[in-house]
Amino acid sequence: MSKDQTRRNFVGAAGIAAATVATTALLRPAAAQTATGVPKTEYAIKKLPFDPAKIKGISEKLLVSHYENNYSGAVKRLNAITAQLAGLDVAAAPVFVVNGLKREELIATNSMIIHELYFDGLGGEGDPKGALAEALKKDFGSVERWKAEFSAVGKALGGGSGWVMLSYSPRDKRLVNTWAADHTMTLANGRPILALDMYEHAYQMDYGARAAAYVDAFMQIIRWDNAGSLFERYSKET
Amino acid sequence: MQYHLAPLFCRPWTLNGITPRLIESHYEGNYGSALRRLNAITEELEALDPAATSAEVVNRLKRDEAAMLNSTLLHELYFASLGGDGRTVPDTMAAALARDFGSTDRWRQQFIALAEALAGGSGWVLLTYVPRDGRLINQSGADHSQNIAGGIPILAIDMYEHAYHIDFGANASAYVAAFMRNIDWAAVQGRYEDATRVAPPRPLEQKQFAGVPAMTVEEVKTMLDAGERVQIIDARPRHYTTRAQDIMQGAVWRDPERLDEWIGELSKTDPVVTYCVYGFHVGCETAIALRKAGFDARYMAGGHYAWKAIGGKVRLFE
Repeated sequence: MSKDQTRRNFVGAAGIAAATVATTALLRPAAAQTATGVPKTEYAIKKLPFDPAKIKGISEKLLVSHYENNYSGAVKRLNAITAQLAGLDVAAAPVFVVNGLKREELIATNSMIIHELYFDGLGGEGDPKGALAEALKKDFGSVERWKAEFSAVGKALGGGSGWVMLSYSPRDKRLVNTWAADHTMTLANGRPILALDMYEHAYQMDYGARAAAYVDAFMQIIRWDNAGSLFERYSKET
Repeated sequence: MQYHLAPLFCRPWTLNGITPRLIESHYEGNYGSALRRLNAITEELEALDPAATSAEVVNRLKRDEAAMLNSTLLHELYFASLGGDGRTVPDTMAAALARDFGSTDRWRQQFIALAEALAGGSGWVLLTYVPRDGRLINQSGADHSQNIAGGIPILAIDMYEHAYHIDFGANASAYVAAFMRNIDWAAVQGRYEDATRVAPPRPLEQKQFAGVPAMTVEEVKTMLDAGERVQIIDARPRHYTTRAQDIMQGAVWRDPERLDEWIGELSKTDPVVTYCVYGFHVGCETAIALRKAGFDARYMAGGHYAWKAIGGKVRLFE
């Protein structure tokens, strides 16, 4: 795929995406069943919701690599794993096969979902507004205090793998910052509304080992309307 | 206690396909910061008053210390693995790889496969010497903390993305290929030679039974599987048998305190193996007594529980 063609696709997608609230629905075409009777599942790669050339502080090269290799790679891997699981005689399979496949399935599924949230959260500016801003003040004391904790957790994860997520916790009806050392760690029953990718693939190309500079750049480009609409939806769940 | 920096040995500008910029970022930014963090934690730990500090604080610091110490050690090994002509494997290493993997190629294929499987995240692949059995294995870990207990790694490839992103982006395969081309085999071999001098974990001996011939549970199993004629006596004490639920397939129980009553049943020509619960003195004493009476008797080291641990067949003890 040539660079120009890539750019046109992304710009087109960004135009559509600008009028759309990001959803977390996965696309599942009703399909034939496999030999074991398990329905065939195909996860689809979503389009990048912004023009990668226009994100301040993160280069196009890095964003395209992140999208094509890490995110899309996870979706493709997930489809391969799902197909393997569907064809497995689960009762007869050795425990390490079951363990291995289910572990890989979890890693790939979460990588897919959380990367989509990450990309949906890029390309904005300024501070949160409205109900979300009020909730941050209520749960953290101030928006500044929330920013300080969120970025500190991100910086603490530098040099390896992980995520820091702003999640709504239905149990206590509050927002929390969640630490994760890999794709498999999330708040039980939590609804993440903003994710910062602290895997080195998210920043190395631009920032080398300077994870803190990447985190600072991220804090300037958060797309608050996405987090805001997700918060409104989740906080209304009963 | 202060940990000191290990200087780079390889000359970064001579590496084949890996740039000095990547090495510098890795060495200063990742290795250097791990060492500095290790020293900061060590200072904190040393300043603690153990009586006044909660377990959680100690736990947190020690976990961090382990991660940073391992990062320091593994990064030093990584940089000490680079700077040679990776295609030329010296004789001692080639012989060891052939012995433990079938061939240098088989070793290489497995090592590369493990490395590529870690693409997109964090981890290490190590060629590790295991003193217990005196052999090399490839080992994959998802972070600094996953290593073979007691293993001595002699070659390391860093599969954290910071190790390759600057030069290779997401192309982990190209990085792994470049790494393989740059392996300093002379250094690896030196570490292998040092590792082979490390003794296996010292077995604790039952000194009082040192002179009594023993058989391992695996040897007994091999005899039984081959259909060899052997008389297996379960000599677990009578009081124990009231609690026992199973007995080795192929064994008969005899009371070790009443040897005279059953010694006459035994064939004088077929070998005898005796065992007890754990392989301590009852099984041994019985074997000693039988040997004194002219039987070719041995005790099974580890006893009944060792037999079950290797998955040996048992039947209900009636």
